[in-house]
Amino acid sequence: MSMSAGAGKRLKLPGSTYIKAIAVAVALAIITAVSRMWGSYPTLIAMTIMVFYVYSLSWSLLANTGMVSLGQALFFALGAYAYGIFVVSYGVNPWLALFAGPAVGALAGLAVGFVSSKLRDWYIGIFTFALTPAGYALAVSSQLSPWTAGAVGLTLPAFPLSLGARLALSSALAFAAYLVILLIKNRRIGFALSAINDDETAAGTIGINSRLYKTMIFGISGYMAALAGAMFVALYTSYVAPDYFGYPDLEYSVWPVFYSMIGGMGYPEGVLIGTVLLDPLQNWIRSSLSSTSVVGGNLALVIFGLLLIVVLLRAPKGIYGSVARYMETRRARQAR
Amino acid sequence: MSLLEVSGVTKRFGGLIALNGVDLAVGRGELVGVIGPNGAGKTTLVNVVTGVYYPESGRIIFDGHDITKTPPHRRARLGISRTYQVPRPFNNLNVLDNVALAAMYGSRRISVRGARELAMDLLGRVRLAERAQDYPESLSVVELRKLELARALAQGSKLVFLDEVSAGLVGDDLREVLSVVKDIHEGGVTMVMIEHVMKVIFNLTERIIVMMNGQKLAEGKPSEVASDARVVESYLGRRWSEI
Amino acid sequence: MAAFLIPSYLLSTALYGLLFTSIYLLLATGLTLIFGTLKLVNFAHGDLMVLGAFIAFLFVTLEGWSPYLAMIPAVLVIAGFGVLIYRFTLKPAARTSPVNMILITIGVSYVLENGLAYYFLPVYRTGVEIPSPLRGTGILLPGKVLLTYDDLSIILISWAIMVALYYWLFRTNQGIAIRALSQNPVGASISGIDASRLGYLTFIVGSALAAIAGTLYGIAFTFDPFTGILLTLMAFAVMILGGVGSIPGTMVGSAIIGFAESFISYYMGETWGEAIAFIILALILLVRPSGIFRGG
Ligand SMILES: Nc1ncnc2c1ncn2[C@@H]1O[C@H](COP(=O)(O)OP(=O)(O)OP(=O)(O)O)[C@@H](O)[C@H]1O
Ligand SMILES: [Mg+2]
Repeated sequence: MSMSAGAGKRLKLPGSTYIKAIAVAVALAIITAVSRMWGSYPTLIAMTIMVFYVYSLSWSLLANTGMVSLGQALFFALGAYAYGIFVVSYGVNPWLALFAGPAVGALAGLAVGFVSSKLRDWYIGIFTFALTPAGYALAVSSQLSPWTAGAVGLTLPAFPLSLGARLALSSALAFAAYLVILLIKNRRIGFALSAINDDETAAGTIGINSRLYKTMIFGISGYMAALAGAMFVALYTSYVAPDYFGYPDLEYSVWPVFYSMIGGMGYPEGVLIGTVLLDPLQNWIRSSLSSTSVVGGNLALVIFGLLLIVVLLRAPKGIYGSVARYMETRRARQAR
Repeated sequence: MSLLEVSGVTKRFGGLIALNGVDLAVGRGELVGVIGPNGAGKTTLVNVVTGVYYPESGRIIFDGHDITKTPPHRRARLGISRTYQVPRPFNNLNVLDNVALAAMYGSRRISVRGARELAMDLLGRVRLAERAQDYPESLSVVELRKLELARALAQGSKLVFLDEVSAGLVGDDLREVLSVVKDIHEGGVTMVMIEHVMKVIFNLTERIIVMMNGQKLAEGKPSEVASDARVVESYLGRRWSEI
Repeated sequence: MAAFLIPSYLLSTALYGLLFTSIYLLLATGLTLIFGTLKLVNFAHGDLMVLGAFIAFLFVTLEGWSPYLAMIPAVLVIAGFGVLIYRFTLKPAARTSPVNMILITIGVSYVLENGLAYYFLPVYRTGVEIPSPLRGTGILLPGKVLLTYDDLSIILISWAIMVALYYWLFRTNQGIAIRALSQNPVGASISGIDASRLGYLTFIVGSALAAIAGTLYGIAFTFDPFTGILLTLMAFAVMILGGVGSIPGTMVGSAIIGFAESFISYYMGETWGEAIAFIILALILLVRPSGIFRGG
C-alpha cells in the first residue's frame, strides 16, 4: 500500500538537485574522455572508478539506512559468478548476462535483508560478514567446481566491445546507479530511510514500516553490488576469482566502506569524490610506492585505515558531507 | 463503544512491574488527563499502546481492532500518534521535513507538497515556523517539545498521546501550546494528556486518571480526583495546587 | 568401517576441538568483557591477538626465549598497545553513533593487519608458527594418537587463566566493580565507582587475554597478519552463541564453535571448517534475531 502510493508522492526535485546531477554527469564524462585520450592504462583505471562507484553506492545506500554491511562482497562476487556461469556454462549472451546476472544479487539481497531487518546495528555487520565464508566455501567446493572452476577461477571470453566502448558503458551504468540513488533520496521513501537511520522506534510510531523498507533496500543494494561485480569481470578482468567474496581478508568488502565514508556517506556526490580520489590513489600506492605490489596494497590500506579513523572521529559526514552541511546551514541562516 | 480499550495490561522490565493489570477506556472525542508520580508507568502505558513495547498480558482494542500484537507502524496508520517525553527528532532531517514526514506516513493520504504545507501550518501554530529550515540539533529543549507536538499532530490521528508536552514551558509558550491542543481536540481528535502536575490539565480535561506503581489509583472528574483521599495521600505533604 | 568412524581419528579430531575451544575461550572472554562493560564492539580484538602472537614469535626466534616465557612481553606490549588504541580511537568512538564505532574499529583492524603485513610479508612471505622446544614430544594415547606437551600446556594454561579470571571477577573488589558497571552503568556511577579507570582496566585485561590467546594460538597453529579478522569473528560467534557477559555461556559457545570447526575441517576440508562457525552464527541470528539484547 505504502509503496505504490509513492508514485503520486514524488517530491519536486529542488533546483540544486538538477545542478548536482548535471555536475555528476559532466564529471563522469570528463573522466571518461580524458582517460580515453590519455591511453589504455588510464582507461582501465577510469573503468575501475566506475565499477567501484556503483559498488560504493550500493554500500552507502545501506549505511544511510543504518545498516553496516561488512559482507557486501557477497553480492559483488555473486554478480561476478552469475555473469561468468551464465556466459561460460550456459552460453548466455554477454549483454543479457550483464544485466540479468545481478538479479541473483537482488534475490540474495532480499533474503539477507529480510533477516537483517530484524537485527540491531552491529549484528548486521557480523551477520553479513558471516555469509561471505560460506560463499567462498561454495565457490571453491568440488561439487560446484564444474561451474565455478574452484580455486582456479573462471576465465571469461572477452566482452564484445572495444576498450573505449566498455569504458563508455561503465560510465553510463555509473550514472544510472547515481540516478537511482537520487530518485530514492528525493522521494518520500528517501526521507523515511533517513528517519529509520536516525531513530527506528520514532520512525515506527509515525507510521514507517522499517522492516519492509530495509528488506527492499537490501534487494536494491544487492542488485547494484552484483552489477558492479558483473561489470568488473565482464568489462575489466575477464576473470572470476573466489577472493571476490572478500574472504579470508575483508578487502573486497571494505573498499566501498573507505570510498563512501571518506567521501561522504549520505551524499552520492560525495561517494563519487571518495571513489575518484581514493581508487586511483590506491592503485598508485600499490604500483609505485613499493617495490612489491602486494606490500604496496598493504601500505595503501594502512593509509586508508588511518584516514578512515581520522575522518570518522573528526568529520563523520566525510569530505563532501562536512562542506555540504556547512553551506546548507549558512544558506538557511541567510534566507531567514 | 470506546475508541481505545486497554484491559488487564501488564508490562514487566526484568523484575520490575511497570504496568500491573491496567484497565483503561478512552471514548471518542474525549480529552483524558493522566497524572502520577515519577515511575508510575505513564510513559510505559503510552509505549504499550503505540507498540514500542508489547505487553506480557492483557488486550488493547483500538477503534474495533485488536492491536495487542500489531507492529507500531500499523497502529500509526490506524490513527494513533504520540509525543515522546524525551524528544526523539530525526536529526538528519530539518524541522519542516520532520513534521512533513509524519504527515506523509501517518494515517492520511497526502501529497508531499500538501504534507509540507500542513507541516508549515502546524509549525506556525506552535510558534516554530522560523526554525523550519534548521536541523533539530540546533533547537532548544522547549523548541524540541514543540516539534514533538507538531509531529504528533501532523499524522492526522484519531487518538493522540501527549507525554508531558508542557514540561518546561512557561508564559506565552505554555498558553500557545495548550491552546493548540485545545483547538485540535475541539476539531474532533481524541487526546490523552500525560502531565506530572494536575494544574495544567485541570481546566482542560473532563476526566483524569491517576496512576501509581503501575496501577490505576483513581479516576474521575478533575475536582473529584483532587479531593480523593488516596490521591492526596500519595502526593503526601503537597498542597493541592502542586498536584 | 567408514573412515570417519575410526576411533583414533575421532580422538585426534576431538583433541583439536579442545585446543580450539581453549583458545577461543580466552579470546571471546576478553571480547565479551570489553563489550559487556564498555558497550564497545571491537573488531580489532583478533588483531591484537595476532600482534601478541607475533611479538612472542620475535622473542622466541630472535632472542631464543621459551615460547611460554615469551608470553610475558607479548602481554605487556599488547596491554600497553591496547591502552593507546582505546585512548585515541575507541574511547572517542564510543561517543559517536554505533555505525561509526564499528567502522572505526574496522579501520583500526585494517591499520594493524596491513601495518603488520607491511613489515611481515617481505621477511616471512607465508604464515609462521612459534617454534617450541617441546615440539613432537608428548603422551601417546590409545590408537597411536599423540597428545603433545604443547597441546597439553596450551589447554592447561587457558583453563588456569580462566580460573584466575573468574576469581578476579567474582572475588575481588575490582572485579565486582567491573561486573556492577557492566550490569548497571548508572547505578555503578552513583555508588562511586570510577567508570573511566575501570574502563582502562577492562581494556587492559581484555587485551592481555588476547595476547595470551595469541601466543598459545601461535604455538599450535600457523598465523599470518590477516588471521586476526577471522579470529575476531570467531570470537563474536562465540559471544553471540553464549550470550554477552556470561562466562559459562562463553565456555559453551567456545566448545560448540571449537568442536564444530575441528570436526568439519577434518571431514569436509578447512574452508568449510572456518565457514561453519559463521553458518552457525547466521543460523543463531535467524532464530534469535534480537541476539542478547531484547527478550529480557
Ligand atoms: N525500557 C525500560 N527498561 C527498564 N525499565 C523501564 C523501562 N522503561 C520504563 N522502565 C521502568 O518502568 C517504570 C515506569 O516508568 P515510566 O517511564 O512508565 O514512568 P512514568 O510514569 O512515565 O514516570 P515519569 O513521570 O518519570 O515520566 C520505572 O520504574 C522505569 O524505571
Ligand atoms: Mg514518563
